[in-house]
Amino acid sequence: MNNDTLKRLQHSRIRRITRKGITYLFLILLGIIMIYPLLWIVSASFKTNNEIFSSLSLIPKVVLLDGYSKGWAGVGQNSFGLFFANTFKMVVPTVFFTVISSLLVAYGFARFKFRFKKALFALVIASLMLPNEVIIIPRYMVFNKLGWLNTYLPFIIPAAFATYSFFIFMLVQYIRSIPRELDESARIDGCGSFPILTKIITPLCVPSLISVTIFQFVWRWNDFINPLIYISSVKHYVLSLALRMSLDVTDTIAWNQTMAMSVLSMVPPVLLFFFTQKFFVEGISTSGLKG
Amino acid sequence: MKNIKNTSLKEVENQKIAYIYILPWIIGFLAFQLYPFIASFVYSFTDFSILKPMEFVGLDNYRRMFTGDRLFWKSVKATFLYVLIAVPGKLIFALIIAVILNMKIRFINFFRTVYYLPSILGGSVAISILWKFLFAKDGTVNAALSVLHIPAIDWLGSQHLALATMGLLVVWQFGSSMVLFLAGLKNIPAELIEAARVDGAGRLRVFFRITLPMLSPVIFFNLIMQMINAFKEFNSPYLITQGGPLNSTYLYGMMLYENAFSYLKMGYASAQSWFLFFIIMIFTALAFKSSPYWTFYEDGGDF
Amino acid sequence: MKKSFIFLIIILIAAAGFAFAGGSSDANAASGAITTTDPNEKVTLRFSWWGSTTRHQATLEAIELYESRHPNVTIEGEYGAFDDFYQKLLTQLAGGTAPDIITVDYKWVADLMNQGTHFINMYDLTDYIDMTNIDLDFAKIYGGNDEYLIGLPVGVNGMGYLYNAEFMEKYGIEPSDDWTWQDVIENGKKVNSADSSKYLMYMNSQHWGFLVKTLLKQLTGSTLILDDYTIGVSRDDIVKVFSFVKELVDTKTVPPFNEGVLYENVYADQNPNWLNQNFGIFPTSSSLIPGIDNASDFELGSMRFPIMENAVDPGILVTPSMFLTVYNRSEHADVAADFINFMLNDPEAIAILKDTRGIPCNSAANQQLVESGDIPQIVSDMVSQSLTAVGLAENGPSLNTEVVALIEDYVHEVGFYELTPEEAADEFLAELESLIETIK
Repeated sequence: MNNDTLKRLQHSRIRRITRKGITYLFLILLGIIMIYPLLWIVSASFKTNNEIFSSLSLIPKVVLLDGYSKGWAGVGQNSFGLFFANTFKMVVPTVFFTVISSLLVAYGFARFKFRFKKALFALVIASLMLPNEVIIIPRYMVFNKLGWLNTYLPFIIPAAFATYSFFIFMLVQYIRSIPRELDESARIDGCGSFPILTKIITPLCVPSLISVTIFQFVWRWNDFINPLIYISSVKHYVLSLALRMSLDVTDTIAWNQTMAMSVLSMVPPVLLFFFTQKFFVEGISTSGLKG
Repeated sequence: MKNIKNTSLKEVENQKIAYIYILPWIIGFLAFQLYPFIASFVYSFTDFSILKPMEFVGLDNYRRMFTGDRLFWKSVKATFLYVLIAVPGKLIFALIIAVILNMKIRFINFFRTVYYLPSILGGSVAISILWKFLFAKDGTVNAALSVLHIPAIDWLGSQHLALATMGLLVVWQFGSSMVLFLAGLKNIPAELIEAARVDGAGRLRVFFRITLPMLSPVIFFNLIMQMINAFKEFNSPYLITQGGPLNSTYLYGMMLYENAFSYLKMGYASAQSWFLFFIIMIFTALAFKSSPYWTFYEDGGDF
Repeated sequence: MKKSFIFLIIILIAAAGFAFAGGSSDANAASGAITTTDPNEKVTLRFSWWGSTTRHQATLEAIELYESRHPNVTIEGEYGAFDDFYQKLLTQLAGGTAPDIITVDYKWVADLMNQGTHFINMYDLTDYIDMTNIDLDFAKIYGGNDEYLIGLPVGVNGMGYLYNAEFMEKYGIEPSDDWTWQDVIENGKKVNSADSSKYLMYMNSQHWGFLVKTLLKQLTGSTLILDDYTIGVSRDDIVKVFSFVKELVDTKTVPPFNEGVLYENVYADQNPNWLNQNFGIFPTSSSLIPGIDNASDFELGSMRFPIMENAVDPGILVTPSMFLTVYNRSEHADVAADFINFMLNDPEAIAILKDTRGIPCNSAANQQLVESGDIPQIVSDMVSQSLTAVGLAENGPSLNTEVVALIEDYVHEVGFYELTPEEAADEFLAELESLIETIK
């Protein structure tokens, strides 16, 4: 090995390290911008009202420790334990049914040719375009007629019938980027359309199904306006309602408690994201099957 | 481009099967979505104040909207500007970050989670408090800029800047787009990229010649969805500026909400919604029409 | 493509038929008749209100007391934040699913009464509710008329100036109950010339709207819009009022609009400039004081709202805080009424509820709480100051949300120096006229 190559090797190593360094620096700086609001909310959960609204500092001058215990106790006999349980009762089935029904429908749209396909698909997308404000009342009437008010059925049943069109469209896009030759070769091997879906398409869709799960979970978890309209009894309140339950200007708002419960309410979505994101990395690559 | 592999007999059979797969959606659409759709369309031709029986007024709502509403065109303009800022901003940003986060580096799981946090925070009440702190004239952002000797900028107080500042908030919540891109990047066969690298293509070239085309269906989806959502955006003006200053951030979604639930003009709000529906429809149709020229599907574009 | 289109049309037509057949709302079909409930019958009533933790706790406690006295009655509280309460109420009224007992803000009453009769006439409930200690003349100004009363007022709310005592002392300003607008300007100049980063006063958009309407009343003795939906003031009056708005900004009595605009939808308790003592006066209604007091770490005081020299009308607003109403589809209106009676008149309930819904309208309840020391001094100060100069009451058209938004918009045009007061007045009047056409 002559001196020159060594130098060049060294040189490229240095370059690689600096590039890595720059990448990390960038990621960390941006990460601070991303995480700062959360840190602020955490610190606000220990602050007095005065401090929350007058200072940006992350370290409280006067530390209040009762935000979590008092906040958790909630109002009356309904503690945040109940609101957490309610939210799970609403969100988990909704997510489950969304994943299944959207996958089936998306498969139908992505892999088959049939009459009116384009018109129907246009309807799928069109149903995303009308603003919520003007359909919320007629939709309320529908669920009222069905007797589903004050239950979680207005969230769960429509999910079972694939009415969260966003996910149909999304999965159609992902299925369409799976090479058709895979289906064809399976069909030649005698596979029916359903086995193709479960044995070929679904495994390849894992990363996108995970995304569906994460999105639907986070969105339902944070959804405020729909639970507000459909749920009346406090004992059925979900977290998004409970968090705003005590915000009223005409009285002292215990902001530290509100912030504390906001922090806790973020824990499940964050955990879900943290533990499922590895599927983006380890999602089965198409290449393995293709070869 | 036509798929010639299927025989016509198979096609008929396929059709039946296809309807079975999409049946859940057909039922769901008929049961839960169609009535609200039609109802709001009917409202748009009525004077409907939610609690009183509606009165048919023909095209009055549409006429007033186009000719007699001082805020309507202002809001349309603001909304278009907002779409122009927020959609490309968010997409480009999310794409860059997704590409970086797709690298094999340490603590990547941690970074991904951190970058997704703002999207989980969503419309939390805390955000509106914090955003004001950051972008007040004597706020954090200006303090940071003053270190660099940049004079204080009136982020939210100026009618010329507020909209752009609000666009920033949305870009900051790029997490969902990022996740979609990450999932899409996973579907790009690694050996395709390796082969190009072996052939001596640089990183940028690989990105533009392979990564981008392979990602185009996801980009397309993201584009459509972000556009639809940006046109309907309600949360950010509602939480941060309440439409001000001087109605410069009075986005369409906020106008709809106020007309419907503050001013009790549901009929009028419905007419406005259908106009928005029409606008979104045009842009979506344009995007779909243009897609064969720039999106690449493994199914050969056969839909 | 053609076929798809035809197919689509067929579906839409079919759906439209379905929509009209199944969708006609019968929310207006009300019985209105009040039947007597058998005391042994199990009754469940729903009661909705908004508020914060203390109000929730106190109300739940009062409900418990009521239930212990009436074992056959269960009252389910449906409580939440103020912000979206109205949207939910409208949706419920539209669907015919509203609670039996509903809390209604005084600002909604005019709009709701325009929308048909959804609440039982309180005059029909005199057998169930003792109204002797409730000032019905006051109630009907904001809650109805001689024939119909939407609900009973719970608390009374007065408008005034809340000030930071330390701030006022520092700048040598003497708070007093006979300020004119000239005093406001003089003191505004004084503060800002002593320290250019400080201002005498901060106003959010709600206050600007209120200021305009109050100034018009003081100037002309008339509300902006009369009951017959004609405009009650002249262009000159409006020019004068907008000029005063400009003067407040010119003299730096209030901060420049581009700085103030950030905190226009919150009150002083969430405004860092108040908490950090950058301004000293916040116009407010008395019901907001407890929250502001809690967040402020300095001493507060209350003074009467300014009145112009030679004012035709004092203009100061005294309103009910909220009304308790009975939904006209309630199957047990008699029990609902009895519960309202309990909340308003029962000494034990009053002792539990205290001032959580403002200073009670009920004079006996008020007396009881004054004696037990449950009303904060500063809150009762503001209410009594406002009661010395009660102005012309707001009427329905002037309380209309869209009218208020229009006023606020043009205040901003003037405050941001986009329009001169004259230009603003002309545009405002033209817009107001066309707006009135749509709200009549």
